[in-house]
Amino acid sequence: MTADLQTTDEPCLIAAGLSKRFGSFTAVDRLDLKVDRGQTFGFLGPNGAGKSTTIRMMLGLVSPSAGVVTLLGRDVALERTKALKRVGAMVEIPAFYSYLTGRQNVRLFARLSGGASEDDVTQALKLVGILHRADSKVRTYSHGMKQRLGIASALAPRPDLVILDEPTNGLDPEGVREVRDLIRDLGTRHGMTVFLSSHLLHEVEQVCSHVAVIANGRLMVQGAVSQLLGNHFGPVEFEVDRPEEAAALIQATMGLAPHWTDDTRVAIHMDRAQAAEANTILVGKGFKVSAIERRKQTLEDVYLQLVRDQAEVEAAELQ
Amino acid sequence: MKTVRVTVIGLLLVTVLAANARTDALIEKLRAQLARVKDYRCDVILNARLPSFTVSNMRMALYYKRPNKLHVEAKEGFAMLPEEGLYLGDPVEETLRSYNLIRLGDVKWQGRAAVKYALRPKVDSAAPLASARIFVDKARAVPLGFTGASPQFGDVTTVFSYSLVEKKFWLPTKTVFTMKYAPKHSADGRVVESRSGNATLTYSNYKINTNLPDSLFKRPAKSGSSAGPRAGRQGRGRK
Amino acid sequence: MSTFGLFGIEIFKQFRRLRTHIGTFGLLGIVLAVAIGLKYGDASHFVGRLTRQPNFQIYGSPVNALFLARVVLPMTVFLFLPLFVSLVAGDQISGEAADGTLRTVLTRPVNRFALLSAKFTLAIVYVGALTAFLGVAALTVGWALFGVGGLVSFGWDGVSYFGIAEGVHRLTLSYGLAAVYVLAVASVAFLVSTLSSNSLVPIGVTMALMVMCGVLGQIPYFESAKPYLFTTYSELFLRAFDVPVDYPALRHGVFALLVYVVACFCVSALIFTRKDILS
Repeated sequence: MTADLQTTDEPCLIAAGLSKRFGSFTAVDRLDLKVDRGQTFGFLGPNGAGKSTTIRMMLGLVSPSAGVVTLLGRDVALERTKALKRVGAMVEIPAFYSYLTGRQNVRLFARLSGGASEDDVTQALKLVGILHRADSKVRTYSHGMKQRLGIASALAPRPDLVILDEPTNGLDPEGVREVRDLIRDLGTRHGMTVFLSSHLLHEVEQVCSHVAVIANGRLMVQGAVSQLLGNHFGPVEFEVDRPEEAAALIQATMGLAPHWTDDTRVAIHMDRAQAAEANTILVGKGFKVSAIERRKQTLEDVYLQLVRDQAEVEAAELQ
Repeated sequence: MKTVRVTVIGLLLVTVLAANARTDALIEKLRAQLARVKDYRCDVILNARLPSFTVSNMRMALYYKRPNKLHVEAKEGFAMLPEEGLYLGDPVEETLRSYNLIRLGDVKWQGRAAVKYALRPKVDSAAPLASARIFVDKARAVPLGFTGASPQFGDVTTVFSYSLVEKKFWLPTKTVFTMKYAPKHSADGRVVESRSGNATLTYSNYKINTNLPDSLFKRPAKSGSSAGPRAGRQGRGRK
Repeated sequence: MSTFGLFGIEIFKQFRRLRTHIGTFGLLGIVLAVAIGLKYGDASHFVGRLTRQPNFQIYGSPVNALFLARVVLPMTVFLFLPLFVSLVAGDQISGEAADGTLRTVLTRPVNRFALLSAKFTLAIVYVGALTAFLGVAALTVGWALFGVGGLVSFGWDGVSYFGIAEGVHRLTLSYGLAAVYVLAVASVAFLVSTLSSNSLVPIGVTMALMVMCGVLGQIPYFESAKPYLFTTYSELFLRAFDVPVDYPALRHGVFALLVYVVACFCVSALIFTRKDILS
């Protein structure tokens, strides 16, 4: 099995120029993705952005109109079965044979992946917390239980790469928290590479080390979550006694326009050195600076900004 | 053709009158020989290919008791037999009941020296078997077969093969009945109807003169046509 | 995973489905109904047809195990068997597409052609098993109620009788021929199932095709198309009772039906191996 694997420094998942057109509609447009071994990779985008189609292309369910997907060093279009050998996947709402038990389903799908020991099956069921219902027919499962069973059946053959499509969909808040903890553990404790799609920013922010954002079938941005947030520093907020005058002073001395001002604060985009300099100037001129704070930008800010940018680009294209 | 037939019939009428006056030695020998068989049972296998009826390996047990008691047992749950043409039981008694025999002379038939007889119906109601002939083996004094023509069966031939059972009774091991119609043709020459056919009865395991009880030949009265073979036989000639 | 391994999984799944057993119960019901009708009703209809033969004497009864197996076949070949096998064959792909399990299966390292072959093999096995079940059920019920005897077969051109050995042989041949025809129907349903995500569609389309081809075959104008309609061979099983058996005609019929089967499978494979799984 390990002979099939390529060298570990090679990316687990590469999508290059991936496109899918359904008639005149382009669902996915020249998408490039790279997921390295050990990453927990979030694939973020609003509903209908093309996430699901992209995942289907990655798994060979849908053939791309253009582009190539490589999983663990294997081209999916050319060597689908070899490429999927060490991949565990769950696509959309997981579907099971309702006339079989949960355990039978996990075992059956594991057999399709080349087999899993009974211990692995039990372990996977235990991991997702449905071991107590493993021997009931899936027909009797709630939506949340099926979701967990989907994850269990993806994990049972102990894959190197796990691809999960909206894994927390339909779970209650408690379940959402458990599944997120579980996904974090897959990377840190089980050494698996995880690719998960989500339309929930905070989910990706909480769980993922890396992220790609997709909107209208196009890649917006891709990178480490920390880096991505670092690139998008928010403005520095000065709490001062006379915000308007402070803003005018900084503009006059440093040439930086205020982002906004209110009754107590002025917010200006600047780096760390500039922030220190601005403080010295303000204090020197007799302003009473009671607080300096850099607002940490959330992924949501980045995401909304990107989507807004995209909308503007498209509006421009239309004209 | 017509004149020939008229002439033949004319000649026959003369011989019929003559033949009735005296008995035939060979026929008497034959009757005496058959009379020694008071009763018998045997296994019969029927194979037939008749118009709209084909039979393959129909197994029966046949019971016969003089003079004309016949009982058939289906050995595989079901059996059916034509009432005419197969000459089960005692073919000669069967024939003599309805026909007079007129000796026509010595012939070679089925590879054996035989005497040929014509059959003349005794009564009008008997099945009209025009130009019917019976052939009797001269050496063994057993019927070798029949030929004839009827509107129902066309040209018919029945051939008996014999073996010596229990070293003293000549009984048939095989009866082959064939019927042959001139095929009807359609305007374009295709055969639209061919009613020719044949039936073969194979006999084995004869048990002779075991004094079969009469009760064996009483069939339970059933409705309609599934009544006993005697009843069927009496209905001979009906359509 | 090999076709053989996949076939094992398919069998495991199929056997646990209610749908699989509808045909079994349906056929058993038909067999029992006919048997009860023959046992307690008036079988004189059959005897009456026998006595239409001029001056024949009847001994015993034509109604027995073999006879029951013979009469239930034409009662089921034209509708029930095709319907019951379409229920399973027409569900092979469409049913899993509707349930969404197809996409789960295909996210595994499973060769699509191997999967299709396994499912098609299952359809073949099911056709064989269901047809054999009909025969065995009829023989068993018939044996229990009427006993065993020679086979009386009523054909359009007359009556045939076969001794037990020959009768069993003819019945086996006839059931085999019926199975080949039903397999052709199943193949059509299977093909349609690769095109649909609703398991009712293949059944409906197959039944509609059967009726349509049947009607076309009746219209003299379409005489030239007749050898190419699978329904033309729906009565092939009756020819097992011909005397003598016209083996060249049987071979021709079986060949034509197998061409249907192979063609349906090939088209299914072409569709399925290229299909985008969107359900």
